[in-house]
Amino acid sequence: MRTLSQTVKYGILIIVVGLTIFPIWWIFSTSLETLQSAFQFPAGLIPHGDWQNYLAAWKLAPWLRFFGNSMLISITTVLLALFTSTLAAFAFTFLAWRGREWVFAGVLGTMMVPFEAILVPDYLIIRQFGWINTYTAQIIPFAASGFAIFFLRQFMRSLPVEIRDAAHIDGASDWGYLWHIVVPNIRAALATVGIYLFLLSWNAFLWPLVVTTTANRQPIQVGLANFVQTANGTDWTVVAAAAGFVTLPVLVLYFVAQKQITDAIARTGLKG
Amino acid sequence: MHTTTRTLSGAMALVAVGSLLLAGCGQATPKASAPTSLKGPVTITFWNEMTGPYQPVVTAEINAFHKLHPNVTVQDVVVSNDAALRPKLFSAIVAGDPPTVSEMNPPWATGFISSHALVPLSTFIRGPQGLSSAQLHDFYPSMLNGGKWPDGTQYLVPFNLSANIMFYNKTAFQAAGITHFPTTWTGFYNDALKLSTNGRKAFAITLVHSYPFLAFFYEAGGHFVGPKGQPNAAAFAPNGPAVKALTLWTNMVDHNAAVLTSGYASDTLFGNGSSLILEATSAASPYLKQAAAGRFTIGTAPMPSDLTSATALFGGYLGIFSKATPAQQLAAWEFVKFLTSTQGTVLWAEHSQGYLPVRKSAKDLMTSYLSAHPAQATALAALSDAKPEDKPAWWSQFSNQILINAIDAALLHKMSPAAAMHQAYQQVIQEQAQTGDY
Amino acid sequence: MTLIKDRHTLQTLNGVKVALFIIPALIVLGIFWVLPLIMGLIFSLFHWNFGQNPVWAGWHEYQLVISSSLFWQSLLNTILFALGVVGVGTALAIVLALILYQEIAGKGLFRTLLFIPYVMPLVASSTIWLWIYQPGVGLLDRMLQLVGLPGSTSWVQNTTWALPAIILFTIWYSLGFTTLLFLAGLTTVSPELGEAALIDGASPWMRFRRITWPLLSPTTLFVIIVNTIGVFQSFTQIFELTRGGPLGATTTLTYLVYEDAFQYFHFGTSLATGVLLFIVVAGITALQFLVSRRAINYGD
Repeated sequence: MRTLSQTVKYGILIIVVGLTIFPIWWIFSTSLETLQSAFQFPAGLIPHGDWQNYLAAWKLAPWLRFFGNSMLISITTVLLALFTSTLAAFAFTFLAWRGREWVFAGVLGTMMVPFEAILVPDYLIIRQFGWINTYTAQIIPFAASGFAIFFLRQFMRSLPVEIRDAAHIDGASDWGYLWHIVVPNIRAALATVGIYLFLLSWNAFLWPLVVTTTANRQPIQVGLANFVQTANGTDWTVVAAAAGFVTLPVLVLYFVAQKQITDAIARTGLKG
Repeated sequence: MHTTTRTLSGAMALVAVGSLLLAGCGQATPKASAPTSLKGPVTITFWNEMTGPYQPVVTAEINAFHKLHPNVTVQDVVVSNDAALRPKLFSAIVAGDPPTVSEMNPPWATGFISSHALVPLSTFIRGPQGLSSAQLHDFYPSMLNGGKWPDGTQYLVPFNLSANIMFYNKTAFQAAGITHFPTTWTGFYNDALKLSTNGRKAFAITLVHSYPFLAFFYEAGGHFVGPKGQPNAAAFAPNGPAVKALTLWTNMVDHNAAVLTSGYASDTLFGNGSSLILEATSAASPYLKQAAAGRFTIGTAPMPSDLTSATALFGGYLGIFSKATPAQQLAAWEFVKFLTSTQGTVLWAEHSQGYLPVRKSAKDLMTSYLSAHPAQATALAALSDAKPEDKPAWWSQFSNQILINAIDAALLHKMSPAAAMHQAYQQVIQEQAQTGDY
Repeated sequence: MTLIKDRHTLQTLNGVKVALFIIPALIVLGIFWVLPLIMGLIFSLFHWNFGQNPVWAGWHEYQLVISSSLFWQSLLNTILFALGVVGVGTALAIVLALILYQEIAGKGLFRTLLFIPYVMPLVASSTIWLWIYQPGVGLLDRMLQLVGLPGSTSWVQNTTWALPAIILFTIWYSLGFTTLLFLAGLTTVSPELGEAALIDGASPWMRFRRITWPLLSPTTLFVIIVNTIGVFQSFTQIFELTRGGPLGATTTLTYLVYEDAFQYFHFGTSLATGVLLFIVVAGITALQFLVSRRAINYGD
């Protein structure tokens, strides 16, 4: 019985995960293809180890600069947004104040604002602050997140009563309670929302495109787009290669982060 | 505290900007007294979409220009394509923060002009640093006319343009016993039918832009814009040119001689031999060569003709923004003059591997290059029949949405070509009522 | 007297404390999200075609939007898109999360592999999928041919299949993240509850139905809301795969907002559509909250 259910579980995993990564594998092997055999089927499924395309793609742009910019922007954004959102979520969960539900609804509302519609007004604001072509313009508007507040509040609310009451017994201040009791107990949530915020910032395209003008401030998505789509066509092998070395470092980062989550799950040991 | 003050002053400034915006954006009138010579150091920004393989060429142009004008610094700002340049330019103009000079397509410029965001280049052309009549006549007229508005003002000058031609798989043509690319619609239709065997569909239709359709439409004798800038009803008539061109395409799709693809995937279909004829400007040539990767010989030919020989001209022009200081405007004009000079345009055409020179005198300097690059030679030969892109205010939505929807509707059998074009006319009339002409 | 005064002081103190906690977030959200929305709302009351001076128009732009059939088609597309992605994506993610939450070999690897699409740049992955969807020679058709199906569908150039093609891409892209959200949610579900039920002899299905599912319901609501909002804002894949076509079959409201403003320079109608989109999403979210209020167990 147990082995059967194990088989079913692995079966589901292998099918779903297999279907998920198959296109990626295919593109990876394409990126290693010589041009003659690119996009042949099924020949394209077996890579031939031609790293020339990667080399060619690498030489085309200041990737390290783009990469460094993206890292700086995304990490700063995540740290700031986690800080402001944790504070806010705490106030929405544990502090009693008038109008709390209304303000929270407003915060939820910011998640629903279609960014394309506020692009031009936001650009006007950024310009008033003199932030055109800066890192600041790419960080500060995302230094708080309705999603993060919503998500963290969700977790704070479901903390077991014992943990909530612990503070009253200890007579801890709200500030100490937040940092010593709440935050350690929602590490998994913080890591999850951190990954989300990181990728949101990492994948941002339209906004950095509009507010930046020089390569020394542009993130990798803008740099990448210049090669994925030119005005007259697409160079597939370069797309695949560039996508490869843009994806890989983030994937490694994720692997580390998700280990954190797993560890956090194991360590916090929420008891019912 | 400091932050609060900044925030507050920012918010107040915002209200100011907001009201300014509402009062009418970018009302800056072109500076009346432009300096006639460049003295001090000037920095200008140049926005364009010449990324990837084109970027080194733009850099080479700028370097060459810097040598001639050491006191001018050109900052090159590149974005990937129209879809990226449009929002960027739009936001910048609305905020009153445009570049000095930018690449743009004529239909966008119509909007910029009516808000006085662009400087009329005619002033510079006639000015002391202008162009002589001989120089002006050295431009290919079809290209230059694309940058001229109905009131006779030249707002844009041509930079990266190309004409639509046919690319075909010469190897497959020869295998099917077809020695020459067809020169008429009938021949085109029959040959495509003959070539479409074993699940292969000869003609790959892609509608990233509408110009591939426009080329056929022009050949059927059509023009969508009437003399006053209004939509031309006759063009949409059941026996009119649009229906005629669309019927040809629909018949080809129905008989499996054509396939509707999306994006630039058509390049790959052509490259791996799934389709054998691709209609594109010569600028696509390097991408097609790469896709074909030497597996077959690529042939190029002018468009097969119908009532007339015609083709569509497509690409980017240069315009200078009125927000720039007089010195910047003059420096930008010098830069524009350089890019479109014989020297500049030869450099551009030869190294971009697909765009056409904008000057007739360039052709003589490019003979050996052109003999090695047949796509550009073919496009250059077709230039006398080429029509520049139209530019009334309603054109953007018409050519990108209304017309493409009509083509899709017919090709996907949702409507007959006549019904699709009738509907398109209703829609374009409505759009014109909303946005106006020029 | 003193007592009342003290209560005042306490309230003021509490107010200051609350303010310190929420003000950093509210400043950012207020300046860069709420203020632009209000500016957009004001601008949308003007006729604002690019290049023409804005003219007071009242609700005119809204009337234009509402009377256009493309708006209604886009609204329908958006709702179908959301139903497809949220429905299928959420169900798949729950199953995967329940499996990956357990102690099984290689779960770290599986989780990472599943997450790759979410990490890939959207511009690149959607360009790649454009090729997968090519008629006859794309990867999808090739695979169908392998199992003996015709395999010559113009997936993204076909009014029937274009939207499902976008939905499939979006599920593929977001599955890893949705699963991660459920995994995080499962950390709040005590494993001991499950063990207790096991002792009582409950079957795995009963355990899921009676214990895990109710405890997971806040997460499920959260995931549904977040994914709905995410889907409503999807743009890149539509732009790369279909550009809203064919015949508007994949035009969503967000795409319409973009296209109107930045392709046709119809700033007024674009803003009006944006405001309407905001109202639609807010309405749907409120509805999701209301409908699920009874079903949710917050454990307090």
